[in-house]
Amino acid sequence: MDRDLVERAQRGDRDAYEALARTSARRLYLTAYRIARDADRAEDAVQQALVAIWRELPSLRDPDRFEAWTYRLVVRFCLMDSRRARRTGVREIRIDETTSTGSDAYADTDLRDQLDRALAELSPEHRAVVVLHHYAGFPLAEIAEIMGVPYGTVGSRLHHAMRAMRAAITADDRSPVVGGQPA
Amino acid sequence: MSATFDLERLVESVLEANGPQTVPQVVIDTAIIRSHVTHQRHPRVPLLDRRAWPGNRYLVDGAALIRRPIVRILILALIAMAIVGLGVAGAALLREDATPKELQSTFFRHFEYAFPVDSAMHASNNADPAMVAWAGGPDTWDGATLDTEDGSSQPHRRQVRGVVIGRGGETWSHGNGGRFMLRTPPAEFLTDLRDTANVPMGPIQQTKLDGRAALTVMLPGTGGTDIHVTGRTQGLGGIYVRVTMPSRLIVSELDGDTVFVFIWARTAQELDKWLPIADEFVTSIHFLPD
Repeated sequence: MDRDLVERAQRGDRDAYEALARTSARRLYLTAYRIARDADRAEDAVQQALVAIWRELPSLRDPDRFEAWTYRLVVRFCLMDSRRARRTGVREIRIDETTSTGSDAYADTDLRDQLDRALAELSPEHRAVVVLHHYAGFPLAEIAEIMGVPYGTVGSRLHHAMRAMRAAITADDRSPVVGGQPA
Repeated sequence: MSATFDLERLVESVLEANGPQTVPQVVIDTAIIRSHVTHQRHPRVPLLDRRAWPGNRYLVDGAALIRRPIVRILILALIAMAIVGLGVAGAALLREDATPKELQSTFFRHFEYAFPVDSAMHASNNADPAMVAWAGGPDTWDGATLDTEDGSSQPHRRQVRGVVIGRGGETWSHGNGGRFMLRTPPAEFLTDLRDTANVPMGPIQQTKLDGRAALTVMLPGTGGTDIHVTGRTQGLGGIYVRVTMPSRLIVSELDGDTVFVFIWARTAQELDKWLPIADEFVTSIHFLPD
């Protein structure tokens, strides 16, 4: 990310902000969708995050951390929406509108469906950790900063999430391997 | 499908594949339009900005580290103030219980006061709205003449030590070959005594009388004259106090009225012993509202 662009936007340069918004929107949306598992909610979260980027940019202390900061915003809006939905009793109903590349060695449809259902069963907080780590590629320490929770909490959430997914798959009489080694 | 697999790689693969790969353009456009009607928030104190990110070594998660100690310090300060307040109030109540208040209602401004414990102080029986007095013990000096036995005239004849409180509103003294009115502001009251009535005195210093600003001065008692609180500059002298004894004079303004307190003793040695007791007495004075 262009540090100069971020600094200009922090000073109120709308053109700089629009350039940042356009280049950030895709990665934020793809991440938000995988946390929220709903296109409308992901769109809402990204829109709120993009507006918040403009409004709160002066509070970003380190322009080099712009990308992580935007993840922080979008994850926060995703989780806020999930909590609101839980309070109002809204139940997520997943409509499968995904596209499968089917290009890797793990293309077993049953296994992938099993894992996808296990992902859907995770709480949004646990799923956010999984998505930030295994999809966005953040290390746990940075996820802790992004989510504003202790490092140990992130580690615990990831551990429990992976265990839950492994359990979901092994229930289907498969033998998972962690880190490529037989379990 | 192999019987074994790498769960982490599988998760990454599913996350990558299961979901959209593009963002709807309308999401970006709508957000940019909304941003046009949104003001940027510029924190007034960046160091204390709760939303600032990332935290630094002084700040964790938006200034929590610095705010928490501040909140703790404020809470501790409030608790300390409450404890001190309770202590002061309790001490005041205990003091009130220990030393019953007397009421002086003859003086032109009524006031409460307390006799120091074991001081043997007693009030003069010739109190006047312009002057009231207390003697500092039962001992008297009967062998002296009226003018020298107590060093004064009314209201504390024949005593050895005492306290006089007088109204300073229409006081006069002697100087420049005749009577003259003392100016009422405390500073002028004292300088008139010093410069016009030629009363020897030490440096004028600041003090308090019933919580009010006051001036005080030590008089060595090596000369001087008297302060008349009644009688004006023509006719009879009225009530007066001689300021020719070793003494301390305190002058203050009390809601527009000048009041003076005169702590005196027959000798300098007597005054040294008397002052701590008299000061305690004066400190107990509390003027009542009109």
